[in-house]
Amino acid sequence: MRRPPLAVAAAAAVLAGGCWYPANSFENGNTPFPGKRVQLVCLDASVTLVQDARASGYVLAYSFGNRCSHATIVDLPAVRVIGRDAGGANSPLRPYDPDDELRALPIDGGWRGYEEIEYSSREAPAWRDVCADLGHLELRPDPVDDWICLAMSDEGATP
Amino acid sequence: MTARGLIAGLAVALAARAAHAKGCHEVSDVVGYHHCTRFGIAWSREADTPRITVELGHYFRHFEARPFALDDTPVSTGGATDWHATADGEYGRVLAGIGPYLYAGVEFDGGGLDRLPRTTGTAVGEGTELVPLAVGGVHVIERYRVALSAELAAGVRYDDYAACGTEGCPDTSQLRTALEARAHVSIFFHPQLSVDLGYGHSLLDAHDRIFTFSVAVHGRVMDGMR
Repeated sequence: MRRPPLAVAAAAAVLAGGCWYPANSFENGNTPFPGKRVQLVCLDASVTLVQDARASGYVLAYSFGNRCSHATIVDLPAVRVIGRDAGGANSPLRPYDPDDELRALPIDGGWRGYEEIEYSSREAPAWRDVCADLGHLELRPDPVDDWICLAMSDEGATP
Repeated sequence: MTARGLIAGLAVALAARAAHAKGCHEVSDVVGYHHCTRFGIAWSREADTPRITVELGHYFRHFEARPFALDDTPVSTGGATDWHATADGEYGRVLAGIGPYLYAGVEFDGGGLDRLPRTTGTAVGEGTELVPLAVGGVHVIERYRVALSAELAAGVRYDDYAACGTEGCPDTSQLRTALEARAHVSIFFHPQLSVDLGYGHSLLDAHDRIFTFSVAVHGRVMDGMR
């Protein structure tokens, strides 16, 4: 029977290389999660502002990895997002979801994910910051607020 | 499994993804603007994506040929004859999920004979095999990114035996019904990619069994198992 060891080595390399999320790494492959980070019960998460040619509002890019060995629920619709102006006044921003895609979904232990969501408000002032409550990103019975604020000037993401 | 086979399998698997990308030009990564993807499909097994699996790999089959002769020599089953044969080659299949556990699809095995039957008279010099099958299965258990499935495969097996590879060489072929019970293990090394191992045993012929080694691309994370 012809069975070169190269095939076995290739398979082993593929298996060993894998695509797992190393706990506490905040990395997607060898690329660090962009933006500001929070550590929740199982999720390591980060959020940053990005620009998109199609989107007219503020686009938040969420990166997350499940460092637990079991699945947990990623509840992106539960993340509250606000815009804050120079005077400190804020206004809630709503996610753009014309196809009703957003919902809480499980992510397996040791895996990672990435999503970009556009937020906007009826008013369209020049927000100084956009803040997201990542404390609600992971579905828990007792979530704790964990607001992350991203300065528009830093990111250059003003729509 | 040859290295060439493994690489070919991976290449075709990746090509399938590339073809998908080619058919659908993504314009944005933002929810609501993307056209080629949906929220959660890259990371959640409960996302709204079809349970489609494309699998490519290598197979090795052991079976017993029906007695035959390549010339006018009377067919004999005793003496120096030996009807055991082995074949190996490439195998591919496309499966679609039904609910969270069941799946069904088509499979095609094609290869050459390694161990040739020993006949009376003109000796067999080479052989080829083609096996189209319909496959149905169920995920029995899934733990730690390893899924064990039970399958039933049914179709026909066509084996061709020839004295040599040139035109005009004596040859004969056999067509027989194939019905196999199989165990299939998928080891996920990525949410949508797995290395798979299979073992099947014919329900019609005690000598007929198959081993498979393959790489599979899954449309849904972990093939949507729950």
